[in-house]
Amino acid sequence: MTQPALLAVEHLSTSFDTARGPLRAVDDVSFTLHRGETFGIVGESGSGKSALVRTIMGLQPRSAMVPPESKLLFEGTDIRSMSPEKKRHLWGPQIAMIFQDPMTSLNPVRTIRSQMVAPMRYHLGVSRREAEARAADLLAQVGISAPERRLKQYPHELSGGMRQRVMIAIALSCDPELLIADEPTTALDVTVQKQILDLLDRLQQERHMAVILISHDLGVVAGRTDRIAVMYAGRMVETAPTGDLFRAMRHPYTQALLLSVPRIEQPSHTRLEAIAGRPPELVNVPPGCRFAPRCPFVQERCREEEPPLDAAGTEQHPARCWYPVGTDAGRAALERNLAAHVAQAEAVVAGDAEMLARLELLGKDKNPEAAT
Amino acid sequence: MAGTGKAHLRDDVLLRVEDLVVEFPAGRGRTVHAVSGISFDIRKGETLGLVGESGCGKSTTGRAIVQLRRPNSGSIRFGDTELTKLQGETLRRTRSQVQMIFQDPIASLNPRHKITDIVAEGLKIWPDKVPARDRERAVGEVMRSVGLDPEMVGDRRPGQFSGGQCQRISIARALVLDPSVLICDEPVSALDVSVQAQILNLLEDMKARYGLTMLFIAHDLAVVKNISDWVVVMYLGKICEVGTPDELYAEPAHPYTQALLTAIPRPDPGHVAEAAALHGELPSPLDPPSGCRFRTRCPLARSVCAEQEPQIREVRPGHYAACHFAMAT
Repeated sequence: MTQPALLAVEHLSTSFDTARGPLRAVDDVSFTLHRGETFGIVGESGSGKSALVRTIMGLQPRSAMVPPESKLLFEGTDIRSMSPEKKRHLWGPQIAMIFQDPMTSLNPVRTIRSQMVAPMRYHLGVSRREAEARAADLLAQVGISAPERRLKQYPHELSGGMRQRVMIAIALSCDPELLIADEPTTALDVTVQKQILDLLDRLQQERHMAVILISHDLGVVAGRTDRIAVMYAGRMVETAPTGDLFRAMRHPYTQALLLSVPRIEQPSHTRLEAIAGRPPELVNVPPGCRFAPRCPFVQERCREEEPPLDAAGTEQHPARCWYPVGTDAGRAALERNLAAHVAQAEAVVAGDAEMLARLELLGKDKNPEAAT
Repeated sequence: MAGTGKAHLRDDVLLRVEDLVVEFPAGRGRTVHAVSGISFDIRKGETLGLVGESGCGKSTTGRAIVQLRRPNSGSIRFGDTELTKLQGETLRRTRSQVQMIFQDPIASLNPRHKITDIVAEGLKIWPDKVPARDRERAVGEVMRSVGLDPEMVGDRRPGQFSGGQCQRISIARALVLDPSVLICDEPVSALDVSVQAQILNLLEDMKARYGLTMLFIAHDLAVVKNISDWVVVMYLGKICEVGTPDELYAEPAHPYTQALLTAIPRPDPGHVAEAAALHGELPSPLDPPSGCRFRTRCPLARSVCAEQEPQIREVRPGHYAACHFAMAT
């Protein structure tokens, strides 16, 4: 038998009880992750990406319900059936996590030294003196100058970028196999973001760790992942090796996510392809595809029947769509919607003509660039 | 000090900020040098993008223009009026001409008021703007123009709306007074990307429809490029570079602008990322570096940068930078 995957997530769902009924934050998500691999999860707020990794870490709120068929296998062992005692040995030396807000994830009334030493003493059983030496060494590794001085300081004495470096140092202190980074740079400035992402890249390669990198920004995950999953309204809607995904986006939501963001290569005042409306509420989800009310390609079938993840594409690059982007069926669907003046379809062709031509959304003769 | 000078100021402008200084006391006799002598101007109908990282003083600048924070020195001329000299009633009257929208759309609306009342409030305060009998129509019209149906949503309260819709309400509230200048302080940074595009498109539409002049403050360079006609890059209370967006982004002259642009993550796995051009952290605004404020992190810095503050100069026609070594190719 081959070695089991480092992490296998099978049919994971997480729902919360609300006054109006259960809210399915994560709905039947599966993926596997191998050693040394970086997996990107992209989605907007409410897409379920944070709830997904929090469930993997066992950090979901007590009120969250995870059905029994949801499986979380770490090196072949089911995490969910582990005792709290066993889980404590999983967190830190096996799986570690860093969060979006480095201020609230550090303890404000304890020094950096005390927060760094505690996990190493517990998990690695090293002496205080050795743990302190390792802590200084780790701070230097994550690019903090004068680590001895920083160890004596409290979180409020550090800048946001520095705090995130400390978080990374703590997460790495027990040599985890898997690092989960939940929007690690969203609260940071763009130049600091680049420093932190470059740092994560370097550490991952040095340590041959697996990383799950979560972001709302396709730009952040583009150059830094082996594989990407796009989430929308609790569902994984498309997943592919990173190069494939950007070469040929299949799901209209993935493509809309890319086109709605202004890019610095575009000339000033380029009209953006805004996605109409907003994500659905996850209580009493209507039948059909969850993106249907906002989708430029939407057809009758999309409103009635939700496509499975393998409705389009290949095993390596599936997409949850009946009329995927870049196919004849998709082109025909968009043209029908344009003829019927469906607003969200018209919003697409009002966008960046050059980009649309490159994506071949429409037939050659209907291409907006050729038409103007 | 980095980046003083007025070489980039133009004629025929609606709003002119000169030598603006804003400082905050920080206790124990110390001072936060938030904005240290910046000058810029906005022409009528133009969108000026003010961009920089957190702590660069861009929001402080926006607030100083509407006199939410009185500047320590400097001049802000709006048409023929010197805003820094205004007091009391005349200041309030002028503010109806210069409206502002804020970063957090939900926190900037009163949660207990109905949407129509929020949008109409400015008209109640300034009753001579629109006669009472036309007010309801004016409110309905502006709400429809930002994509809200007054019949459907007018009686609801802000808590029932998403961030994007609250930002639409804020825009309607600002526009109902028919202002000459709209100051937008990070209006899209709290929004999801798909909603961000809706608001950016809406602001472009509103600019065309109402002939607005905008000061658009943001940290996101791509957003600023998309919406602006004229861009000012700030760093630690100083101006680094000024120019038209297409020119400035294609040929950044200041090393800080260059570093910012290389740091933007591109949604393209084939893009070869350059090594981080910027190391270290932002210096404290309590004790900014001498000479050029960017020199402590600048790859081009030499001894002259510590001694002399670079003046803003024209590096190419219509493109200005404050750097001793800005490339003038």
